[in-house]
Amino acid sequence: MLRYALKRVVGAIPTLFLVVALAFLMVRAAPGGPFDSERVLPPEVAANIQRAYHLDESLPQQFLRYLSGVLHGDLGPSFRYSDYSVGELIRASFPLSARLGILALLLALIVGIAAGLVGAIRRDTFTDRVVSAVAMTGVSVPVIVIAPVLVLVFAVQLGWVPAGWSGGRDVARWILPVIALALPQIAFIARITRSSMIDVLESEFIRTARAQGLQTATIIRHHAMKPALLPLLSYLGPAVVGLITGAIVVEKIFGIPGLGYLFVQGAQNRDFTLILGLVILYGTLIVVFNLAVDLLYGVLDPRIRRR
Amino acid sequence: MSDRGESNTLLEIKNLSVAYGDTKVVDSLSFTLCPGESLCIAGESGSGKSQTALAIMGLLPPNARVSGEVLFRGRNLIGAANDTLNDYRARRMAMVFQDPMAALNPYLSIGKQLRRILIDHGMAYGADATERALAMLSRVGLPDAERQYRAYPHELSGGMRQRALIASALIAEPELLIADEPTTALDVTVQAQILRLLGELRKQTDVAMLLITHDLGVVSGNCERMMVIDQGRLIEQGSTRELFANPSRQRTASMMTAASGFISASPPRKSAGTDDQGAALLETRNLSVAFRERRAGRRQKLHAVQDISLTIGRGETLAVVGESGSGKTSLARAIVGLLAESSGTVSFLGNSLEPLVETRSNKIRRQLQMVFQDPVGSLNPAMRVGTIIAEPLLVHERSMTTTERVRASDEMLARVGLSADLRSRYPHELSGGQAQRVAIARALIMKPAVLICDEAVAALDGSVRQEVLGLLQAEQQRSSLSLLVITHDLAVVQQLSHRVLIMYMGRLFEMTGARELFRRPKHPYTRLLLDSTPLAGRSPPPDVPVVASEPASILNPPSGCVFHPRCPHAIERCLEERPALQSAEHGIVACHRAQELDLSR
Repeated sequence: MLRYALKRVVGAIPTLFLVVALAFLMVRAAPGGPFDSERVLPPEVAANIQRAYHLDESLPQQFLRYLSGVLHGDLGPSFRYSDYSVGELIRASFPLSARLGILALLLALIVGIAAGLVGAIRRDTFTDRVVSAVAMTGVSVPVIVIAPVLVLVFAVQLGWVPAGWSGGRDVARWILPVIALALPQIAFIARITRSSMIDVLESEFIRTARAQGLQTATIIRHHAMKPALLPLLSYLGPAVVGLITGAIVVEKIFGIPGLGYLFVQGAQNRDFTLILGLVILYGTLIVVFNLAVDLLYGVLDPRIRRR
Repeated sequence: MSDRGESNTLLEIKNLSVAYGDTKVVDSLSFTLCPGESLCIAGESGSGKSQTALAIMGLLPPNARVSGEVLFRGRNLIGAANDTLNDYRARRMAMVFQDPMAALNPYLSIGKQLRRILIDHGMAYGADATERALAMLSRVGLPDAERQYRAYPHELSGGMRQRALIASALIAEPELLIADEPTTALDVTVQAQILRLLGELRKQTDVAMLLITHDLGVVSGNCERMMVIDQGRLIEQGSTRELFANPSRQRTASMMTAASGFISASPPRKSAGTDDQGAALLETRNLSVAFRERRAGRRQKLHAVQDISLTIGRGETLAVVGESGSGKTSLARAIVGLLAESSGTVSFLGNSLEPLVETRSNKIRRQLQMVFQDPVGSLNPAMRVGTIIAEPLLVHERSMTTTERVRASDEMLARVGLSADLRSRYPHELSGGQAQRVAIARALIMKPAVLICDEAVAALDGSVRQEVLGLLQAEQQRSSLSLLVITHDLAVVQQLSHRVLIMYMGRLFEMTGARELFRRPKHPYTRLLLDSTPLAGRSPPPDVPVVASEPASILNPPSGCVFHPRCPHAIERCLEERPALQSAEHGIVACHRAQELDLSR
């Protein structure tokens, strides 16, 4: 098990390297640089700045310099917020984003699983159709549409919750962002849970359990629940990706100073090091989550356990 | 339970019908079962026998329309609420299903699945439930019950799984046990053990049994009464003995022929033009197949086939017989050149062949053709029958025009007994028998010298199986086709083959003439196979030693003779020394005691 985990971590290094290299090339390929502004700088000043940030070197040289920094745990200075290093910016924003993501994931799991189970057990009834229709909507409508609609209805029209981050007290201002971020995940999780539970309920071993005269509640709890929820585990990887990208939109819309917000800022300002730092963080998170999921599978599925 | 003892019947079925849409799968079926009695429902696939069983248990899918009555001790269960049915299930009637791997929950240990039944029915809790589950596991003959209790289904062998499933059916002491094809998914030697176990348990507990099967061989010796159903209707019933002696319906008779081919028919004579003394047409020398396996992080070699040397003459049929995992399919694939992991030589007309089919010449490739087990699965679902049959001609007869190819494929259709209008059908529109005929036509259109049939009739019902076997024989007569028949079924061997090769754990155990094999087997394993095969109209000889084990893991083969743990005649030497092949009267055998043992019966 430990050897397997180590192998996977080592195996992820080339992937991360490739991601960083691609991100490095792509931000450079975008027109404009970090120090372009409406006020034209005198050429000597511009050259000085370029030299200070090593932007006058060739691309491979810059890339190597950056990589060696990363390997030493230094993500470099922010090009835009010149008083801060990228590490400091990320450290300041991370707790907010982590809290937003974890809350949204918990909400999505609780509501999504419950809705999916109800749909599967009351299959083809009115309840099931409602669940399926709502889930279908949730899958099809992107966060960028959901979030403003939520704000419009619950903050502007009804006035129940604050519309933005700065306008509210601690609990209230979390409500809309968490819901907006969780909604698509609720929909995905509900659909996966429903179809997987239906598959399990139609399997032969459930027929055996019925032949044994077990009560329906016993069958669901002891025979069907675990196999039905296992496929969700492999969705957790994609769910984390969905939450990260969703958070970029949600944080921007609600004005939450988290990682997503930083990312948008960084992209707009051509803050090369900030973007790269975030890409490395996101990439690592995704790799770690996928690894955790695979390891959990080994623990939970008896057929994989003893290999 | 006031109604208990009120009548002398346990189960009474009155005019039971089951329909899906407009299709009736069970049609006004009526029968009765007395306490402790055993009744067999026999029928081919699609005859409605499993639907009848599920109707009794109240397990039909919601879209099934059921009418009639299922009276259990006088109480009608059709239309009863699920809660009412749950009072009957497990405690008064229980069911054993065909495929124990699918019927047991893969995510729960065997012990937990058994305990749950007792707990949910309020029959026992805690340590008491555990104890009763353990006791039940020992009663179904599972060695080391404590270990099996903690085991998950995938960790058990097929036979042990079926024992566990039987344990789960009997743990609540029901009055009626419904066994739906309980041994169909198992090897013959294991099948014999399970049937014996069911018989013993019935004696001990006085449970009534409803046995459902397509294999009449399983019936005799296990059931007092039997009924034969076809297309949902009862066509014949009576005492098993009478029905076997004197079947009045054609359908019954043909099912019996299918099951008893091997006592009545004698092996075929070789057709004219056979030259078994002359040069071998196809020959293998020391053919081996070793797969690399990774278990627990360690690389291991799995020796699927070891040192098999065989010959097939023109117009001859050689059957390769073995249980699942014996390596017979790997042998066939290595001969055709489908396995990169093989070593040794395969030669055709004295010339040794390239090991892989990709590097063999077209001229050689067309000589060796193969027919597979799953008839529909081996045909491309996106192609029409005519195209499938003609496709090989695109490679092997490049000069042919489209019209010529269509004519050739139509001729082949007729030759395998299919009407020409099937040419525009797709594989999924064919029955199993039709699809297998198409597969045979596709192979024969290249005019091969050798046809390799890998369990080609195993998936077919009795009467259809007879027809396909007949077709193969006719083709052999017609063109001196050589057949290499891979099978686990001795009835197929008896009907089709001139010589037989018995394989066990990848090794050749015995190779001899078919007639001699049945009359005077030389290897104890051959004897075990013969004794395990259930035959219509014959109860298994009571004095046969039942070997209560299954083949050892091929990754960890036993020392000496790999068969010694199961062999009733094993001596010290068998534990230490691997027996070499030695010649016997009509063939070769690998057994230390071949000379001294007389295994004829």
